[in-house]
Amino acid sequence: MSAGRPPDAPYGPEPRPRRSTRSLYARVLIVQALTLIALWLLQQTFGGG
Amino acid sequence: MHPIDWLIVFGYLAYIVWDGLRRTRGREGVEGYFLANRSMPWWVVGLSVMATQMSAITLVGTTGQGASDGMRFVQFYFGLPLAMLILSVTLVPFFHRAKVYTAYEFLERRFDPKTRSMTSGLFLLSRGMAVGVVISAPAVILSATLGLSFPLAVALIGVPAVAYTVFGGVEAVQWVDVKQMVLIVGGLGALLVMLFAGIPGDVGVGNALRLAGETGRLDTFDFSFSLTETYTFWSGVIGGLFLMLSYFGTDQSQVQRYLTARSLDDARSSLFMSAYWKIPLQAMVLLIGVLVFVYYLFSAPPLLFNTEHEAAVRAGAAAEYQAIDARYDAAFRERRAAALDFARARDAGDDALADRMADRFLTRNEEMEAVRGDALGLAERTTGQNPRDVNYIIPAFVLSELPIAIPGLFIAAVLAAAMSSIAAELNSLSTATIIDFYRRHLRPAATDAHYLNASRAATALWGVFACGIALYAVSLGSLIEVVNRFGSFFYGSILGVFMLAMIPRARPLGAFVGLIAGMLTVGLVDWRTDIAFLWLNVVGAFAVVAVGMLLSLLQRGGEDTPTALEAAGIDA
Repeated sequence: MSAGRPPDAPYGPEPRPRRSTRSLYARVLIVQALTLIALWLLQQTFGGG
Repeated sequence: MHPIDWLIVFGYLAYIVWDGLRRTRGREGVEGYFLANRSMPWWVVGLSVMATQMSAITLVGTTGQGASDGMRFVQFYFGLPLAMLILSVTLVPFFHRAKVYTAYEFLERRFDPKTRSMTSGLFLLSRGMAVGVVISAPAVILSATLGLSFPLAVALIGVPAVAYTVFGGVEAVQWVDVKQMVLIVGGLGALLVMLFAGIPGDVGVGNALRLAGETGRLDTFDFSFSLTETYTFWSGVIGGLFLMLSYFGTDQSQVQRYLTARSLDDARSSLFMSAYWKIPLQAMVLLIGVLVFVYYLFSAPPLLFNTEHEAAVRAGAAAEYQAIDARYDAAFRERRAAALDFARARDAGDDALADRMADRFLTRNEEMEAVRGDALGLAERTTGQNPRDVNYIIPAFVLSELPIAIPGLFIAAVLAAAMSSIAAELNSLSTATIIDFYRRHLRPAATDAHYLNASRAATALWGVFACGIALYAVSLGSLIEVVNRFGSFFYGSILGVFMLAMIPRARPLGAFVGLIAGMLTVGLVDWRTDIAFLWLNVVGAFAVVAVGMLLSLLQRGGEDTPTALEAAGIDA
């Protein structure tokens, strides 16, 4: 599904978002949490200095 | 380097210039040149945003930092995902709907021309000098590592980037960034795989990571709350949040990337790409450094990685250097023996012996670091320069330890990282020069063709200026440091002006005076305290908002000042 207007068309109405903005925000926070957990596990498993 | 490696480097440079120049066609207007007619898909914009941040110093300096200091630098980026979320609901929709060319143009609509000119002028001053450093820093390393003359190294980095930026404009910059990112991430991934594969079979990945962990290199999180410690969890989450808000929300080199997006949704998605991938990518860069440290546990490392400095010390203080080298070699043998004994004890399940071996390993490691410290001190005394040896660890490792073709790919990736940052900065410097000053104050009513020619000329002039600064960067060292330090004073303050713009009651006088007060406050705090630089962004932003709001509340009149919604043309 194309989300944007044709490249050289004048500014038209804003295209409909691909997916809900709220689910995008939730996904960002979940990925951030998973990344930090992975780094924390790396530290807990092999760290010790 | 082997001729095949050189072939890879020059082949890549030729491809990048050709690819950039072929984008020149079909983009005739000034909006096409600076904003690609706001037609770019989110993934191109997202990769371009990431490529702009991934400078050559990230590839060689941050990996080196991983080797010498470990993973904790990644905390610097902990505020980034949250910053992207905040920007996607605040500044990004305003910029997008206002159809501005520069972030500062929005400030004129919200406040007045002088606030716009001042913020844009501060951007030009700091970025103009910084782009010289972006060229010179990798050029110094490449010239020392590859044995090139310094001007040739500057030309290798600067000329292709200037060429495709001048002729192709932002569209060339962003499409080239896509290729640069593929090469950079591919190169890093290949390096990571080779490093894991290079861990001796009788040691194993688990034991190797344990050894790195014993030295504290896998300790990512520091939860201590200290305003003077640079990298902690809290400075990253709070100070880093303000820095990233300022960088992605108010710095034209970043704002211009997502202004080219074809829709608001695309602009947001492009920023979320960084929110997803920046921390994992940065962790991978640091982990590569940690694995290089592991590699040199079992294979003798050079005493000095900066070969130019090593040659100078060998010539100037031969006897002293040889004595240090002999101590280093002995310490290395003992450390390797301890590391191997540690691995054997763990494999045999003898935890008590493993603990004793871990202690012995750490003692030997500290001895080695002390001897290396002596060598670095000798290098500094002999050459009169800070060796900055940490920046040479990865290039020296890649060029001396890895097979043919990999060094060529790595050098091409370093050039790619440098060019992608330079191109974005030249493009944004030219945009601010033409849109915020030339078209706004000098020639307000010229034709589009005239502005396009002026834009190309401005990009070329900024390119020549940046290469000139790069050539003299070594002798201009202290001046550049002053300018960069000055730049860090106003990063948070400029963010403060944009925060004010979001508050309906804020007035133009409050914004302008608040900006000056914010910079003065940061300067004063930096001068009188030891507060770590990430926190200065928080201080600057809040000082601007406090002074700006106080003045705005005291000021009579000004009710006709447009709100942010009105300035962006959004119906409330």
